[in-house]
Amino acid sequence: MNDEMEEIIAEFITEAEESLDRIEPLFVELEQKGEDKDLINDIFRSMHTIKGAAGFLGYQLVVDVAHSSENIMKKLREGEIALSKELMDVILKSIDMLRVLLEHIREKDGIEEDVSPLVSELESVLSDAVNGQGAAADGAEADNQTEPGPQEKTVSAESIQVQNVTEDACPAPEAVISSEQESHPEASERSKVVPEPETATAEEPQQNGTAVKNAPAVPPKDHGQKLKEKSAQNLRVDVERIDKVMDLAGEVVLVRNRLLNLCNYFDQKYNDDPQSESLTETVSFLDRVTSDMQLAVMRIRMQPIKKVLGKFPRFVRDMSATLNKDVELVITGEGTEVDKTVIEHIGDPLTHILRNSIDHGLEPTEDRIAKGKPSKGTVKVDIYQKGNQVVIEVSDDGKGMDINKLKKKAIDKGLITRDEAAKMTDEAATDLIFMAGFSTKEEATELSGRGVGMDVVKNNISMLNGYVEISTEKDAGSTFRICIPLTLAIIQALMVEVSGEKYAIPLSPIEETLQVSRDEIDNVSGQNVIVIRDRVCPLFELNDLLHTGGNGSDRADNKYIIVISMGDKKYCIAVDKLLGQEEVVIKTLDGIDTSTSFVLGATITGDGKVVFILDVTGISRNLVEITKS
Amino acid sequence: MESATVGEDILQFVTFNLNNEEYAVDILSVQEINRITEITKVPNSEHYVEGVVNLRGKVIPIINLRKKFGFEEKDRDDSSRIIIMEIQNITNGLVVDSVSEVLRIPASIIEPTPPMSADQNSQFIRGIAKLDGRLIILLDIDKLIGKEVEA
Repeated sequence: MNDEMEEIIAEFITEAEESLDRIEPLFVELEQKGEDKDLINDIFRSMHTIKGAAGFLGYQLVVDVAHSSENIMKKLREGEIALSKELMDVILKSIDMLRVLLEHIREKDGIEEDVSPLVSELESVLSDAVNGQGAAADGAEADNQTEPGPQEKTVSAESIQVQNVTEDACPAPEAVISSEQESHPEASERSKVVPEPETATAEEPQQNGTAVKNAPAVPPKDHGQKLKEKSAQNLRVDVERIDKVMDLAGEVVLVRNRLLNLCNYFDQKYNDDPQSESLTETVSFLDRVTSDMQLAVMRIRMQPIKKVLGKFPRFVRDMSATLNKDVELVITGEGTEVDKTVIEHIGDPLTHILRNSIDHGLEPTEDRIAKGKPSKGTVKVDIYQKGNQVVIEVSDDGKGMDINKLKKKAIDKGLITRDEAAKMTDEAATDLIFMAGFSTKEEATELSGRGVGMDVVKNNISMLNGYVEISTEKDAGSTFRICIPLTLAIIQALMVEVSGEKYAIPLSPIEETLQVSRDEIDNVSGQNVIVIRDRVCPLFELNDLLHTGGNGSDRADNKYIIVISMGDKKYCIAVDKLLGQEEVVIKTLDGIDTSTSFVLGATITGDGKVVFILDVTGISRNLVEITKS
Repeated sequence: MESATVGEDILQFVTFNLNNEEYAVDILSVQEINRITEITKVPNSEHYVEGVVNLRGKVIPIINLRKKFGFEEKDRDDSSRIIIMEIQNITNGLVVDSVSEVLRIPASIIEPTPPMSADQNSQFIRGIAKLDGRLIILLDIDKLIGKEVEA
């Protein structure tokens, strides 16, 4: 296969996956709102595009699945059949299958999924639906259950009129549809009507189990329209090219810094020369432009977090059906932009937290009613920017966490001792759920799939240089607050020195820095420890960890200690000097095995020198082993 | 990384000196040749990894070929160079004593590696070229660095 073909295929996969990502939440929206012409059209078009492209490239399996789903959408569009839960389930299934097929194409593994059961299921559901519709009078009742008509109020006033008329006599959907078709061109206008009537009917869609309400700020109906307009101005660019530009921009910044130094020097030396001033002026202009450019380049990598959130409505829908809990998902601030790397890594932790909130946080419906709470639980995901951080809050209105129960469970599992539990603050106790081995739902359910616990959440987030906080109140619910730096390319770091070499330590896990004298350091069975406010912390010489050659024991009487706090673990690192705080640009290390070197990456300082960034998470993992052995 | 195409049996190599012997690497894998700049040591790394340098904003590992081959160490001087090579999509630098020239070597004069028993460095050698009474050792860079990547 030649390169050009590969490119076309890669493009096809990307586009198809993007379409799937985009239409998946639309299904849930559709289910909630009932038959919405625009949504159906949008989904139909996307399916059709996928089918067309796949047919052109000869991916018959994709064509088969897309074709069958498209058929259903077509009938829905033409009003020949009504929306039902069965239809929805099977279409969602076909989307899953399409994803699997696309993955196979990407991997070129040649595995052929057997799509025939799914295709025949799609067809049988379709024919059932068509037959059901044929027997109009009888079908009416069934349709009423699965297709809550009142939500159609989200369309324009005139079609509401029509809808109201037809509502009682359900088996005349054609009337509705034809009137809607006429008003179709003003789709974007109509969408403005959305928020109010939707909240007015918020209680009604409960028949479906889940109601997913998008943030009031974003009228969900005009997705298709908006995306269409946007696509004309968008350019698909290989990430590698952007990263290249980023690198070069970083390099220009370094050159600028050097130029500034040189400029100062010459300015002092040739103060009288009139050209000297214009040199200073020129360099300071370059200085400004460079800063602007760096910012602009960074912005290229930023994407709205919506990309990740798209799968959640479906996830919550499936989950609430499985657990038989009534859940409403409210998402706000999905337009917040974050770095591409954050988009890639935040999905899993968020899924885990959401699952935790629905599974453990929200009470069963009966309990909620008994407590006098609304029977439907609410999980809110709120994303906003705060300073140079992005904050993601996931809160539920469930039962909250029982601190004593958490402690007891951790003791039972041998994760902490009874004494430790007694001393533990409430905050530390809630953090217990992030400990490896704490999560009980070990059985890899259909929903979790991966069978990983909440400890992954903490790990993934600290990988992004962020942190998680939990606040909880009994019977009022719990909130997980994730804070992540806006961009991963630049982090705040503490610069330190050992044995004459400079290192950078990410600032976020550093709790404090202290200066201690030699006699404050104790030794407990071979392990250096230091007591900080009545808490014993293991102490390590950075020298020993990095094997830099310096001898840790015979240096100055006063040491600088950096206290690192990683979740429940706390440890100290001793260094020779603290050099101060700096913003550093992270560069990856290719070709060096960093798995044992306690190095996360490197950065280039203003003078062009390479400085390593320490991997405090990696160190903490190794420390545990050292202390245990 | 074969540079020879069928019907054309002249190969181009960049030659360099190491421990008073002449070595050569395929010119197609050489990206550039630099003077030695400041090298930052990598903690807990293999002994032959000299460190990393900043190559126009990219951090690349530097391998000391003397250490890799087990020769005695030599202080860097004015003629020391770093040969920047792209090997298996990773950019690496090799520290050598000095770089000499670009040589066109007919494939016909390249002889296979003579069996050098117990010398583990022979696995990095692709062949030996005899040219005007000089013996030039042609290195198999993929094996040299590929092994490094695995480690």
